[in-house]
Amino acid sequence: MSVVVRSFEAGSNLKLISKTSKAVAKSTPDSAYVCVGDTIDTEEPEFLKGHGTALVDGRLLATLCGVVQRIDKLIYVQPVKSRYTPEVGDVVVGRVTEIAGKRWKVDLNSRQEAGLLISAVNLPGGVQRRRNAVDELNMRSMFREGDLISAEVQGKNQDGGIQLHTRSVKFGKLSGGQLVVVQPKLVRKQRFHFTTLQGLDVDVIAGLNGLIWVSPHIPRGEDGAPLQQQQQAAAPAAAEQQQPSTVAAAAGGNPAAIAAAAAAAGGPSKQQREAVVRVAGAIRALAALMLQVYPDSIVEAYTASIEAGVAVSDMSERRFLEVLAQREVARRRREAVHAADG
Amino acid sequence: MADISLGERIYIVQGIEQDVRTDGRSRAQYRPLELEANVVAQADGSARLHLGPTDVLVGVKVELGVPDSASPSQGQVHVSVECSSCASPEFKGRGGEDWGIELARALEASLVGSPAGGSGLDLASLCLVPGKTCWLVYVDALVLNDGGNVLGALSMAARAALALTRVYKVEVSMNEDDEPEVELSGEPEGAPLDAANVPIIVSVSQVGNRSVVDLASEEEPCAAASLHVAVNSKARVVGLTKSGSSGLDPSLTQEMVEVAQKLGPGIIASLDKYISSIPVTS
Repeated sequence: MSVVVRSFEAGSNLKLISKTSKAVAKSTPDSAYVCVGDTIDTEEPEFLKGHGTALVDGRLLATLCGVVQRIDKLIYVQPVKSRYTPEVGDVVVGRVTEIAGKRWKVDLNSRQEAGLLISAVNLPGGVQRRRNAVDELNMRSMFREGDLISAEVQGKNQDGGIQLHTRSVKFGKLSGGQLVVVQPKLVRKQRFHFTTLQGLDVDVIAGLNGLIWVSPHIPRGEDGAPLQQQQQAAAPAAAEQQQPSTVAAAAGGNPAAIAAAAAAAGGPSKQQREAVVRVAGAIRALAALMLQVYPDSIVEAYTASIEAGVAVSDMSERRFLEVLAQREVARRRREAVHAADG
Repeated sequence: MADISLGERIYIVQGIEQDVRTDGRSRAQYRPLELEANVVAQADGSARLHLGPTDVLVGVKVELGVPDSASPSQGQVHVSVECSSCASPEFKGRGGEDWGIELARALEASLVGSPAGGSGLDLASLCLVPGKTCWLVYVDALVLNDGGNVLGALSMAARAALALTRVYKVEVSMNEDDEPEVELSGEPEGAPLDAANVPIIVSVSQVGNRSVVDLASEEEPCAAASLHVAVNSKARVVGLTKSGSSGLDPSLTQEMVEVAQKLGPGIIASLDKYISSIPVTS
């Protein structure tokens, strides 16, 4: 198998974006996009300077790269790249980094670490009762360091800290799939964040913090709880029942034990896995072009890649990105025509 | 981010068994190499290599010096690797030092050739006046981001940087006291360093019962052991180191070396082809 060697082109994706987006009519004026140091127009003499702006010599300058937003008198810059800003009710995917007292610390790629209190989780077996000291000692048996979990933002502390909860059966530990990380801004707020892609048998959990979990489809009930734990999703648990010592070693990071556990647990078929990997590739390609990631756009990118006959490993390559950008241009044109007709 | 979870590891290991990796590659597939040539103006040759998210920078500086008394008729190669704390939070402060030294040793072992000149740089040709003056080749590498397969990336970047290196032409003459004198010749352009025999390191890892190349950072914790095989352009194995805790099966070891031998010359050929397409700048 030959290895591709080529020169590195910094910002080639951005060039591609700006080249192709010229073909569609802009909904925002050029001045809406600012770079650090650009002057922001202030038509009215009275304004409130917001995030990402500074007043220098009577002129309002941008201190961030992004889009200028105006709400009444407030002018601020929404940065292109930023960390996740939580809102109550957001569905997020995060990684447990530490177990501290009565809570798990969770990394959400936000400015501050989030906390998941032991009182904010469903205990195994679904029993409703006061959490006692024994539960605290058993915290690691629920989520350990490194585990990925899906959760909902319950609230924000005074200091900006985030409180999570997993008090619904659909939330909890994620396994038997893969993680794709994109810019938080690219994940749109939707009615449903746990989705099964139409006709692909692939589940996607789009965390609003930019962490997207892609896994083979597991049938879920009305309440969102997995109907039957698929073998591979329950792999660690199943293996634990058979040989607890192996799993302890595997969780400790012993590769041989992990391999044994992987062999023991049934996984998705090759075909199913290829679909999952292609979905992940589609999400990465969308993110490379700074396009919104939501079920329809993922399926669109997935179909485009199949039609173009692109291998999954080439989905972040220039050739496919160009195809994808062209399709997006066509889609926006159609939308514009549609809007004009309506 | 912290280490990945058991569930993800199992998924990755199963994927490698099925020959479908998380980024869609097959087991023997490398990520595309993206190179930037001559990025450091002060260096005599430099290259920056991107391998997916992995990002390394290698600069080569050639200076006049005194040969080692143990090998008076040879030049010297010094390798240092620094792990930037941008690459991983683990490298903050002195965190990356140990790993940097480890990488530098592995790299140096592959660059320093045998006296016969069969592999690596021909040190004898770097000697100007035996016992008195020789060229010292400093290879300084910087790991800017760890996205897996850092050693492999470093070795390829080092080969590229060495191939781009121009050595000043000098004239050696004898003065009245019969002492050799080294003088820079007037030519502005140096002669290229002979990097044809410099090997690259192909890291082949055992994941489950399979051998895999070019691990991404999330795949690395799943590997039981890795063989770092230094291969030259003639598919000869010129160096071999192993990392990881578990032992290797003899049959698998054989297979892993063969994988490296099959891939190595192809990568070197593509690298050389790319480098020869770069216009020479003084």
